[in-house]
Amino acid sequence: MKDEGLLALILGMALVTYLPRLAPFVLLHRWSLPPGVRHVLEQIPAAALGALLIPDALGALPGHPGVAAVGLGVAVALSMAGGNLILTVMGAVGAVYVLLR
Amino acid sequence: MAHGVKDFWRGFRCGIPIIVGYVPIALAFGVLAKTGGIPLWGAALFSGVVFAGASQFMALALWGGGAGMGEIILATFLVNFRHFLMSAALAARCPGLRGALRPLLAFGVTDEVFSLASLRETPPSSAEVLGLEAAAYGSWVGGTMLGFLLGEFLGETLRASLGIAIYAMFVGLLVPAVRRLPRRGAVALLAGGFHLALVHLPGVSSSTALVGGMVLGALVGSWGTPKEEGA
Repeated sequence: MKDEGLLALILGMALVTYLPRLAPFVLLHRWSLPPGVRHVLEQIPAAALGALLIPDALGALPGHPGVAAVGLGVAVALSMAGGNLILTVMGAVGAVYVLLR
Repeated sequence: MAHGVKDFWRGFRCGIPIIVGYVPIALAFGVLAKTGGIPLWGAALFSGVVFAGASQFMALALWGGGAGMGEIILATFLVNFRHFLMSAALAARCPGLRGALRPLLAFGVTDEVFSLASLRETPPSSAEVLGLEAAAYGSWVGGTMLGFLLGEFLGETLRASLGIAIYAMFVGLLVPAVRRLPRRGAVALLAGGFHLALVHLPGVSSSTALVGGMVLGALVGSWGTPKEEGA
């Protein structure tokens, strides 16, 4: 019973996650967008990252907002120094691990 | 066809940072699923067919708290609706993403895949995006199962530290993009500011606030900025 419920839940979540991902690929195949709409869509990558980071990033480590801030600072510094994405992620996790230990 | 295979592997190599970022988070999801009494097949299926981290964590929390199925599915729709914006932006920027592969390409649109694919100088081909998505998908599903099976050997401090990985990845995607085009920094701050403001409004759910922040940030950020570049 519980298993059937879990299966239905996961499949329902999969459906409502997939359809919004799919719709633009199907629709935009047929129509091209007006330049104004395209221009707004071009801002989405930066806007998405900004909204994903602020304010949730400080809550990344429950009970340790200060440590999270240091981890994010390390990520910014590594990334500014031209470090690649792998180094940035591993550096931040490493710094947080040292501080939490 | 050989061209496509080459592009696939080039995309896969571009996706290696995503693997590094996803594995720790997927491990954490696997651990949490097991602690929450979800069977292995359930944890693997979550990552395999939903493939959207934030909503999976949220579903575990709600399911464990006794929330109804309809409620969880509605919340999932709202949390993941940002991918609609990302798919639209990606499809508009990359007219090359066509043909029979589209349903598959659409399935793999996550925050990180989208950011890597859309913040590049040149629009990627279908095969490159597919390679990127394969790297992301493999590490997400594989990491989930590893976390479920081996999570208890990780140690509590390391598991807690992994919480920063996803945000470090967002930082690592944003900073170089802002350095290439500084006004993207303003757009990101605007979106974050709107998100922060919306979260504190009564009656606005956290997922609505997130999508609202992205849309308002992009709308306001597009005012008074040059139209031609990046197209």
